[in-house]
Amino acid sequence: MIADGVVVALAVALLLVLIALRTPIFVALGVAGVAGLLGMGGFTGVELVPLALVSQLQEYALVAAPLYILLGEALAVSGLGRDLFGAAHRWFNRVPGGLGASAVGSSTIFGAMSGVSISSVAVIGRMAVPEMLERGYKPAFASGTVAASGALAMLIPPSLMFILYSSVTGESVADLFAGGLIPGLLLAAMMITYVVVRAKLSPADAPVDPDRFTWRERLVALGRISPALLLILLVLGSIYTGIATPTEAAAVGALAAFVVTGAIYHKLGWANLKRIFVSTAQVTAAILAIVGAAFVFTQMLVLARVPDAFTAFIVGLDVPPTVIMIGIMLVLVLLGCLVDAASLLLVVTPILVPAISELGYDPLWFGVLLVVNLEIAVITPPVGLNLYTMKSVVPELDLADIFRGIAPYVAIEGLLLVIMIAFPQIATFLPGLLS
Amino acid sequence: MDGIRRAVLACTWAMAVVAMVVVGVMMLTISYDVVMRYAFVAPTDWAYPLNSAGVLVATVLAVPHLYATGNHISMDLLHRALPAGARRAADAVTTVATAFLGLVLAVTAFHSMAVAWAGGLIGAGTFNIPLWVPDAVLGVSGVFLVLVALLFPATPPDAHAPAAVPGDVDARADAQGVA
Amino acid sequence: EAGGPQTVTTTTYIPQSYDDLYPGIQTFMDTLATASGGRMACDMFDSGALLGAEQLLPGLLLGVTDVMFQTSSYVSSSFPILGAAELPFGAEDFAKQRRALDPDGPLYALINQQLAEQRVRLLGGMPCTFEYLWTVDRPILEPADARGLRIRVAGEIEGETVKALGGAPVFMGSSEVFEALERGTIDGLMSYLGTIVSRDLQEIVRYGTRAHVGAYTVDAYCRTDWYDAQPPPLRAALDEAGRALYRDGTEVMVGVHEGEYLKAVLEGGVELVEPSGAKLQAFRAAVEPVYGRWEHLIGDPAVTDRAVALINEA
Ligand code: NA
Ligand code: NA
Repeated sequence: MIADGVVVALAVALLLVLIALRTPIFVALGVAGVAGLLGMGGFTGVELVPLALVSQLQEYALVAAPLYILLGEALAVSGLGRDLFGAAHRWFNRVPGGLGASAVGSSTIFGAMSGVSISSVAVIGRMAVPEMLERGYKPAFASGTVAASGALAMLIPPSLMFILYSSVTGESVADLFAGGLIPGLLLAAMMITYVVVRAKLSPADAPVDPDRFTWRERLVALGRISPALLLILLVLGSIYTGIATPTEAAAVGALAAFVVTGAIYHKLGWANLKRIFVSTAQVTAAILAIVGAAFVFTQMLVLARVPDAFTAFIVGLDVPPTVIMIGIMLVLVLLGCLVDAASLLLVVTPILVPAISELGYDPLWFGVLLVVNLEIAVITPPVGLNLYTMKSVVPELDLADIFRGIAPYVAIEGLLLVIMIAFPQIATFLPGLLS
Repeated sequence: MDGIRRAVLACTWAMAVVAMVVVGVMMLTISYDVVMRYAFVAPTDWAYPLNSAGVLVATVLAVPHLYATGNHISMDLLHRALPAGARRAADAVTTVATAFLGLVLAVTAFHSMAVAWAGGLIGAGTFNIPLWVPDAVLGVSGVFLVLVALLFPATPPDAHAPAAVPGDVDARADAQGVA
Repeated sequence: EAGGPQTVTTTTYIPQSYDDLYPGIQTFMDTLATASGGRMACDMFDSGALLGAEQLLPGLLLGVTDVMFQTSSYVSSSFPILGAAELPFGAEDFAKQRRALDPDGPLYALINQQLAEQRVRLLGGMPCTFEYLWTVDRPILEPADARGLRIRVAGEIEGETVKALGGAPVFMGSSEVFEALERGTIDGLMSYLGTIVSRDLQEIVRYGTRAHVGAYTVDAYCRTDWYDAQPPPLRAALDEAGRALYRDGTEVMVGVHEGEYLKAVLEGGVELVEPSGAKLQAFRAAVEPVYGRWEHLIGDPAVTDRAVALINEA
């Protein structure tokens, strides 16, 4: 009989090897989990596999996940991404780095409609990056800005990552959504500030925009996106005012998104309907397959009592909790380079949350902090989904340029982490106000 | 061989279509429940259990088609850098790992299904879904995961089509000439 | 067995922070260790860490766990005989309910005889104090007051009771109840005192109707084949642990409910109403269809009649 600790170490090693060999992540997590269960519990242990999948994938909090994805996809086919970017461009064109600021601004608003960052990168990137390149923006600056700001969709509600965090910890989705709003807007403001300062200091990266628009043109552009903006205000407003639960708001909001796309934008033909549902099923299954498999893997860790051991270790450390928290953040940033966002969140949450709760930290605040970490994870190589999404929607880009372009944004997000540890109210203020 | 692959792909596509319909039905039934709950003070007792199960069904039924078409999230950075021989070996490992996971899923889910059936296990509440139903869906998905692992092996990375980007649903099957 | 004690994998969704229920579970584990002379030791996964509330029973039947602690409302749809102790106005008072559920009594023998067909065995359990109807906007003084209310319930018998009173039963996880009451997604809930205090619901519910509208039990289960495979002294130790759960666990739970928890609910500003006389009779009459529904679920009038009689005679 091999000791459980050795089995766990082997299972983790197997996980990393499989991921490196380009095995789909859900397969890697599932196989590593099964291998660990076999090592510890023999064939009886493996009986946990269907139990874990059924238990995690039937968690009611997850019902909101496909619905928010559907809402985002239904709006995306309306050509809203182009209109959003067009409107932002008309309002920001006099600002240094105006197109870059427009890209961040439209990612922020698109982020309030979409729960997943790859959709945001794909929709905004397809529009904004070619436009920026045409106006003489440096590829690194243009692509880095869109790849990083696309991740705002995870922090600004609605957010799939908060739904996943809720499904593991039982924290309220509505509270998590409220907790992510201020940090998300703060991060967007920090990104825009960076773009403007950078354009001012180094005009070669982002040449001044020669376009001039009248106020009338600006208002018309705003009018074009107003139905979608109104829909988002209604969805988030109904959650924050307590009229609807996040799941109810997702279902009714998705239905309303079909109405907006069909009745107002007239874009709801068969081809678009098919595209909406194919995309939704694809994104849902790709991410939730990881959710289910990650639970198999973490149940293997539970069986080996890894979370208990980790909590005992953390609580036994003779250092101030802030130091432990900073240490945890550093480890998460490193892990975020190697693991995709959903897997990272799903694997570390059951291990970390009992420990940080024991230290007296608020799991709600920690959830928001974790998602800021994921903002970094999705843009750090070698494993950064937004980077490859960027490359796939604008194939002429060089991956090396994209990697260079995101570096300043990693620093900005690191700064946000520090600010949030120093001032937890940034995340906890709004949820406290609403309840 | 292509005939078998076409047939399997038709099955996985049909399962994926069911998954899409399920998501649409979730949207409609929750909206209906909201109207009944707030306007008529008569919430349904079926919306909650059915939609919980809906997430599982929508996910699990779409998984085999996503594999066959190369649309699962995977990380190909190291794989890209490998020499051709090593890449083929890595792909073989992926095939074996996926088939193994599918096999474990099929065997354990069908066993769990048999136990739930024999024990008459049903969910709690006035609208009870028998517990063998989700197990059956898992088992079917496991069987098809084995089939697609063997019939649609991973293809060498293509610089223009990295994995896991919404869009080209049939990329891999298309590349192998069966989409 | 070479060396140490036999490990009994033990699971529950109940966390250690439930100070009404967990002491009983702890007593079970301690008693099992001493009564078996150290030959059995529980390896406990609580708080749903290994198996959540919905997975406990399948996990038990699949052999993932040897013993589980489960609330009857989660499993009484699969094991309708457990409904006997859940029926509204079933036992006259709690003392009788408690006597009826003695693991050495005839009702328990009947329940275990029924459960054996589904391969599980009850070792013992804690009959919980009776359930209340809790509401936010207005009190339920008579059955007509419940008409049109959306009431959160946990199990099938409770759901049938709410339907019989003219309300709409709503199912949701207990972690969602606070927010649902706050948002007006539901108008109230049916539960015992433990659910209220463990979720701080006394901050939001305003009225509690104290009548025997339902009840549940928290029990220790194992598989029949696993039980039968144990040598006689270990079987006796398991039975003794079940008795300790019933005897000492129930004692602690009742003390916590009638003392600390009741005080917390009243201090939270909840007004308790206790129907009597004609109004109580109206409640009894209104829930009559629940008995028919339960008899239909069991499908054998001889069994239901006997179970009801054993409760009345206890
Ligand atoms: Na978002
Ligand atoms: Na990364």
